[in-house]
This record gives sequence, C-alpha cells and structure tokens, in this order.
Amino acid sequence: MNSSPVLRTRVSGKAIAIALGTLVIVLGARFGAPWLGEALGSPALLPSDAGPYLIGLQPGEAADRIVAIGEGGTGAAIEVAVLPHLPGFSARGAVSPDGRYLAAVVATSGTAAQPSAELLLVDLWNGRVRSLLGGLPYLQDPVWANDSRSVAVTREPFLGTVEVIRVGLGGGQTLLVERDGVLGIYPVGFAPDGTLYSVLLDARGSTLLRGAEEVRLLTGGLTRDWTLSPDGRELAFVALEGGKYLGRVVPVEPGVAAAQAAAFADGRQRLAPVWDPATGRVLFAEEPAAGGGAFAQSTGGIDRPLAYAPDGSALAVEHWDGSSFAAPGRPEVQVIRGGERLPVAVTRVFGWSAP
Amino acid sequence: MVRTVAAALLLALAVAALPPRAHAQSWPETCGTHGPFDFDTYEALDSRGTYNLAIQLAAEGKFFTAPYRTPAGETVDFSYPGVEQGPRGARLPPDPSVRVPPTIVRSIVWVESSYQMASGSVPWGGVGPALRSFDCGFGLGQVTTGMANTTGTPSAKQVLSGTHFVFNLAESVRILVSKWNAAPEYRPVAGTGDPAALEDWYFAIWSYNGFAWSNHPLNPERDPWRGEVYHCLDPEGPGYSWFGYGDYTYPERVYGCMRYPPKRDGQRMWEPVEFAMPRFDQPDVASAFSAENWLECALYLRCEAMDYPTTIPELGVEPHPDPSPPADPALGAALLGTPRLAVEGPASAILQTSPDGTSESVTLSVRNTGAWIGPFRVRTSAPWLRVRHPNDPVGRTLDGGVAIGSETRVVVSGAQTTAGYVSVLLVDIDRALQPQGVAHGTVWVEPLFGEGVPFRLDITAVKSGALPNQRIVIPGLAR
Repeated sequence: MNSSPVLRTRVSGKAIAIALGTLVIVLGARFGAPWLGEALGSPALLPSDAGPYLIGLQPGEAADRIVAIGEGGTGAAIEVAVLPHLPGFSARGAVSPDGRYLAAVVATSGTAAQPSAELLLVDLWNGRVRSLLGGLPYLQDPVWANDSRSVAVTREPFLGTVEVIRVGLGGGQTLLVERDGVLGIYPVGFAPDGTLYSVLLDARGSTLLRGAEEVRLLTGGLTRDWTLSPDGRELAFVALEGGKYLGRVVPVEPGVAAAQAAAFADGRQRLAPVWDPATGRVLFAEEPAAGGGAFAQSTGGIDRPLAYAPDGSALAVEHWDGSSFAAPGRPEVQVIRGGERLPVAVTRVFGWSAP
Repeated sequence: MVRTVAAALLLALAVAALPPRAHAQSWPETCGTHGPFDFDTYEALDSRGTYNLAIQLAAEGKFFTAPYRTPAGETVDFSYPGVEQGPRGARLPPDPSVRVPPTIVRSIVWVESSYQMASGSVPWGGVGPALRSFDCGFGLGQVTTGMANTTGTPSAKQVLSGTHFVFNLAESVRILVSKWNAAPEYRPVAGTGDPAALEDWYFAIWSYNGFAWSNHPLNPERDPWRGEVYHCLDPEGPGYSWFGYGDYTYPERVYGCMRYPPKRDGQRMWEPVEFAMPRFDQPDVASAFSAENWLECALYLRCEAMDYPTTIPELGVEPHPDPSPPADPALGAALLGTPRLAVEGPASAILQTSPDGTSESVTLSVRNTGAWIGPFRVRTSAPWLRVRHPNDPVGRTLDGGVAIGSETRVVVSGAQTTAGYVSVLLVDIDRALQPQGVAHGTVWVEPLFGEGVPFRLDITAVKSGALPNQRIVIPGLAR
C-alpha cells in the first residue's frame, strides 16, 4: 500500500540480473563451457600481424613447453603453455582447423610402466588449459572435427575393447565406434560432410571405416600414417609389407580410381604423407634413391613432412641427416619456404595457427 | 526474492569451489577391493652395490630353494622355479640350475623403479613407506601380481614382497620366469628358447609389462625412426635429444638400458652388454610380428606363428650371452641376515574414544635384537583398530614393516643416523568405524623371517559420550 514493495521489486530486479549473470559465468567456468573461452579470450598471446604461427613442443623430462613461432615459423618462440607429464612422456596433439586450440594427449597419471593420459584443450589465444577427459591411452593423436568444435580420441574401457569418442569443447562425449578383439581403431580425419574416417586394425589387416561402417580393406597387414585428402575422397597411408614401409594412395570409395596411386608403386620406402592444400598433391618422406630423391633431397638426408601452413606457403618438416630408412641419422625440425630452409627449435609440430 | 537470488549465487559459488573432480574412492583391480596395503621398508644405502648383488643372486636362484615357514607357522614360497629351455617341440622342463641373465633383471628393475625399494621420501639407508604405484606395484620390481588386498589382511608373502628387497627381487624373478615358462604353450618362442641368450628373452620381457599391443614394436603410433632401443638417458644413445622413455616399447626400454646402462653418482649401474634386436627388415621376422599373429597369440593363445629366429647366419646375426660371472651363493645368507624380533608393549589395553573423534592409544616397539632387516606383519581383528607410526599421516594404517638390527647405521635424514631402527607402532581406535558401547579386538605383530614369536595385544574399546547419560560397564572393571 506504499512505496516499499515497489522499491523492493526494483532492488530484486537488479539483484536478479547480477546474480544470474554471475551464476552463468561461475557455472560456465566451473564446468568448462566452450563459449566462455571465446567470450573471455582474445589473441593476446599471438598478435595476428605476426602469423602464421607454427605450434610446436619443446620437451622437458617432466613438463613440455608449448610454443608458437610466428612469422611463418621464423620468429621467436612464444610460450603458450606448460604441460606437466609423467617423466619421459611428451605430449602429442593437433591444432584445430581454425587455429584457435591445441588438443593435446598428455600422460599425467599412473606410472611409467602403466601410464594414463588426459585430453587437454589449450587455448592458443590466451594460454588457458582445460582438461576435457582422463583415463585415455597416451599413444594417440587427437583428430579435430572440421568445425573445430570437437575432437575424436580413442579409449580402452576394458581389456580388448576399443572405442572412438567425440569430445566436445565443453567435455561432452559421444560414442562413435566400438569394437572388441581388435588391435586398435585409429581416427584419421573428418570428411567435409562431417563423417569421421578411421582405420581398424585386426586379424584381417587394415580396414577403412566411415563412421562405424566398414568401407574397404586397405591391406591384409599393418598400416600407419593415414591421412585424408582435403576433399575427403582419397586416403594416403603407409603399408608395412615384407619389412618395408610402402606409400599408398587409395580412394575412400572402392572401385574408384585414385589419381596418384601409380606414383607410389615403385617399391621405394615411404612414410608420413601430408596433403598440399594448394595443389591437392600428397607428399611422403622417401628413402633416398641412388640417383636422388623426389622431394627436397638437395641438402642430403630425408625430409619427413609434418604440416603445411594453411595457405600452403610453408611446410614444416623433420629433416633427418642420414642416408636411408635403416639409418635415418639425427633429426631437426625445419620450415621450408620458397626453397629456403630454416631450423626451428621444437621437437614436435602440432600444426599452424593464423589468428 | 533477494534472498532466493542470494542463495542461488551462494550455491553457484559453492559448486564452483568444489574440487574439480570428486570421485568415490576406488582402486585399480590389481589393488583388490580393500585398497592398497601400507608397508614400510628399508632402502639400501649403497643401492648400486647391494641391489646389484641381490639381483644377481635372485636371478641365479640362490636365495630360496624351497618354501619356508614363518615363525608364526605360515608357509611362504619364494623359491626359484627354474627355467625351461629349448625350442617349441623340444622344450625341456624347468631347471633350477639355469639362471635368468642378471643384466636383464637389473634393467627391468631400473625401468620399473630406478633401483628404489622405498618411496622417494625415504633417504638412502633409511626406513619408510615402500615404493607403491597407483595400481599396487610394490618395490624394486614393482611386483603387482599377487599383491591385491582381497581380505583386508595381507598374507605373509605379500608383506615380505613389500617390505624386504630380497623377497621383492626373488618374487620379481619368479614372475619373469613364469613369463618365460609360459612359452611355448601360451607365448611365442624367440630364437631357440635358450635362456642363456639375451635375445631369446624378448617375449618374456614384453610379458613382464603385459603382452599388450602398445608394446608391439610395429605399433603404428610408434615412430619407426626412434632407434631400435631406448637411450636410457645416455647422451650417446640413439635419439637422446629427440625421443623420451614413453616413445619406446617396454622391451626396447629394458634392452636399451642394458646397452646404455644408467648412471648414479657418475657411476654406471652395470656394464653394458651386447645383443641384437629383432631384424624387422627381414621378411620372416616382420611377418612373425604381423597383426594377425599377435592377435592370435594375445587373444587365443595360439602363438606359434610369432616365433622368430634370433640367429640369421647370412647376416652374421647370432645371440649373445650375459657375461656377468656367477655370484658366490654364500653372499645370499649375508643379504638375508639373522633378524630376531622382539615386541615391547602391554598385552592388553582399554582405549576410549571421545565424541570429537580423538582416541586413547597404546604404543608398541618392534625391536630387532638380531642383525640386518627383520620384516613383520601387523594384523588386526577389526577394521576399527588402527596401527601406524606416531607421525604418520591420517589414513595410513600399517600392514607390515621392518626393524633393523643395531649393527646397521640407519639414515634418519641428511647425515643423521641411528644404530638400527626400532619400529614404534601406535595403536588406537577409528571412532567412525567403532561399534557403540564396548568392543573387543586384537592386534598381532608377527615376525616373518628369522627368529621371534608373534606378539598379541588385546584391546577393549569404549565409545564414550555417544549417548546422553550413557553408562558403560566393562566386566571386571569399574570406569
């Protein structure tokens, strides 16, 4: 009957707004909402005018430095984050397609004989690190979805059971594939339509999976280093046959001809294919031939391609100074740009970021 | 409304303040349903000399030739079973006179524990908690098999494995030998199955860590250029600046430390040995390690197709022996010593707990009037009886420990030492688990090696103040 109730209502409205806002932020921070990082983040660590940045790792016995090297891999190393791990177990990972995040698999618990890994999300813009999932095998590289909103990883919930799960940036999980009695399932990449391709290793050999569906048998033996072409139509990989690593390129759909398949049927050993985003061609590390190799062998040794810059203008490689796959020599990460090579002080490359 | 919003805000802040992950307490299966045992142990002052000798004797089966009875009458078996030998189809039964190559055991112990029997908080030459992994691997050999706590009370064998380095090493060797003897029925045979050949132990070493796909040398997640073995932190080793421990399979770690021995205080822990790793560039070796063959063996125990040669005459590849000379068996007795345990303390006690959770306590002293390491077990008849050291953290309940003879200087910290080590035990009541009113329980302290007699302490526990005006009557006592 007087102004007091009205006054109380006004105060309550402000309180509601403030309280709700605080609640949303607090709960977002507590439970790792993906939008929170975006709302609070800015490329403070990595100025956009100094990119693209090569994202790599400087190892330590018990912690790794994640660094960004600007100017196309020729600038100074900027420390983005430090990731502690079990002694002797360096992080593995991949940069998201939008260049914003590093998804890292890091052995953080268990023992050296029985390690257990976490999936960590490193925001390359501000160095923030969040744990998305624990209890994972440490021997794996996460695979990003094309929209950079989730990653695919594997886990082994029971002895002999392998699962591929999609983990959202907020930590939500979706089971994509599950198999028993197999050696492993290895996520390879997401096609442009969002379908995950994986390779299943079991007693039959290596089988390409589209989602949970078996698409084609790749070989009757072990394979490795699988990579999907940017258009999602071809798969490059390495087959282990008769003690040799042989490069292969096949269409993901059986019965379709692969344009580059013949180029790698020469019996020479190959490893670690990557796709050139500018030309659509695939590049392998090749064992030097007597008359010289096909790729960048002018300096001697062997180049293992790691990652092209997003615009294709530079390529990070591991350069080994040996003369054969049996004796590869000593490695060094280098960036090749315009025919010039520059050494980079990292031991692992996770990809490129161009804020 | 303001109160409601304020309450919501407080709730949100409270939720945010919670620890990031709050799990119910659980343990890996290897720890058992009752969780890990807590053991004390002695860490040798000269770890290199003492543990190398003990490993040598354990690998040669010189410590125990038969099961023995503890002073309390329990039979335990740490005897060396001997190794089978010969190829598939011509395998000879286990021969206790044939040793495990000692350098293999040294390297496994290094890879497992860095030659530590005790946790990192215990000084060399000191007594303290045993090294224990999250999955209940104990001590030098990180013995996991048989260490599960399934009843709440450890067996004498579990205590001995967790408290005394000789028993721990003897058990580690028994486990490794069991992996070797699993061939040819359940595991492949490397080479001709010759236990004197370092190369022929490849599958037994692999199995010590689990015959897992992650340890398969051709696992596609492993770098083919990592080098054939781990550099063991030797700057001269292959891949030293590039690859770490985690980049190698378990056999590559063990063989790597055999070739590039680790150093402590600038001294190599052992002499390097020569051997050849599997030649995967040879089609017959590569095909033996195929996915199909590994799966058949790992899942269905059909392992013949994984057998591979360790002798390839055309390439000059042949197996190598361990050059370590045999140890003097008499030294085994010296490493076991002649402990004689005596427990000082009352035979009975009445302990009362208060509503604030505090408990009266009684103290026992376990003294070794003999020599060297005297292991003992602690047993209780009820879960509300706690036994620990006076300064132990809350939650530690001692299941076994050691007392050291006064002839041995035991390091307390830094340069401070004492003549021997008396294990002081504090017995009290966990009020949260204590029954209402009056309850009776018993604590036993039992010598497990050497001389001594089991000690018994009868406890009458009184839970006071639980009920208003509660009157407690203990037969024969007024209180």
